[in-house]
Amino acid sequence: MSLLQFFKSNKSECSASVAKERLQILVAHERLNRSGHDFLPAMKQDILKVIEKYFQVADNTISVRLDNEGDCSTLEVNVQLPENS
Amino acid sequence: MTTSNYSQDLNLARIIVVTSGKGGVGKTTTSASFATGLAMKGHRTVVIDFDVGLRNLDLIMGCERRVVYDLINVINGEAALHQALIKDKHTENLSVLPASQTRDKEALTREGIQAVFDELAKDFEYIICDSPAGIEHGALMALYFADEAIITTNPEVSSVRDSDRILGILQSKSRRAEQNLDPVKEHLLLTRYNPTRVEMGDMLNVEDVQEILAIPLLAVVPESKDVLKASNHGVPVIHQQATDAGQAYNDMVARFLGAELPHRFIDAPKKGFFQKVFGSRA
Repeated sequence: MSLLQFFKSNKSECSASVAKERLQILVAHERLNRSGHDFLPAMKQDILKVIEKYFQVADNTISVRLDNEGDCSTLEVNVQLPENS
Repeated sequence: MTTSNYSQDLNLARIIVVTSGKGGVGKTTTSASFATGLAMKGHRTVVIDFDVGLRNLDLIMGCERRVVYDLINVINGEAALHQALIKDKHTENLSVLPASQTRDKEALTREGIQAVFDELAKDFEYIICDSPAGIEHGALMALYFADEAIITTNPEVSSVRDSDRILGILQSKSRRAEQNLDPVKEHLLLTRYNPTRVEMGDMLNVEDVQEILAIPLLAVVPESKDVLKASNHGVPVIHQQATDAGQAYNDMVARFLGAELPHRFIDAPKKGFFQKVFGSRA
């Protein structure tokens, strides 16, 4: 690294590490989407139907996520119940 | 792998797709030099242009004026395979099968390609498929039968992302994936690498790209003016053994064939005292 670069690099973060960070997030997300879990939207609708029997909930108050970390997969279902229930 | 598969594989040529998703990263340059390199090592090799409608491999190989018939002609039965194959003038053991310029892309059918490959396998050890860019029909056909894939990637965000998508397609839509065979063997080829810009922190480095794509590195080809010069002449850059790019492709072929060589062209050239103090324009 030259002296000039030393002073320059203090001012702005190096762009390659920004690129790496953005790619890591993006690629992890896209891999999850194509990892064969096409059933998630359908499962979300099924869960919603069961909940609807007991609560009045809107479609956008439920979120379903499937995460893979190492050997472990977690299914996260998040339902926001209406305040007066 | 089961015994029946294994004995079957022994009779078959090895099919290798050069692919990337993104355009302009060096697929055709790589296909031309890789195929030439395999042939120079004595392996009977054919390189096929799958870019129906936009053929370019013939230009890079320098055989554009000798094209009479093409891949689609053969698939449609309008020409025999031996009529369409062009023997390379510089290298023994090497033939080129050009793409069609005009025909309908849908003529590229799995059954048709399978028939052509079966016939090629009688005469060739390696079948190199130069994939078109994108993830449409032509690209899917080029990778479908692959045993191995050369993922050509530039150290640049969109290229890395597209390479990852192509890896996903290889793992789900290739013949090997569909038939539950051993997966397609993936190799990373990093092209247009500029070690000086990497050192400046302006370009993703080899380790970054490898970490993101998580596939083994076959070779790094440095950004080089000689690649354009070679394509101007229609002579694959691997023939220019005095150049960095030529040597990088030579290493790539040797490693592919099993040689263990240290990776080169990863570090920036050493600078003199004044350059160290004042920096230099990359």
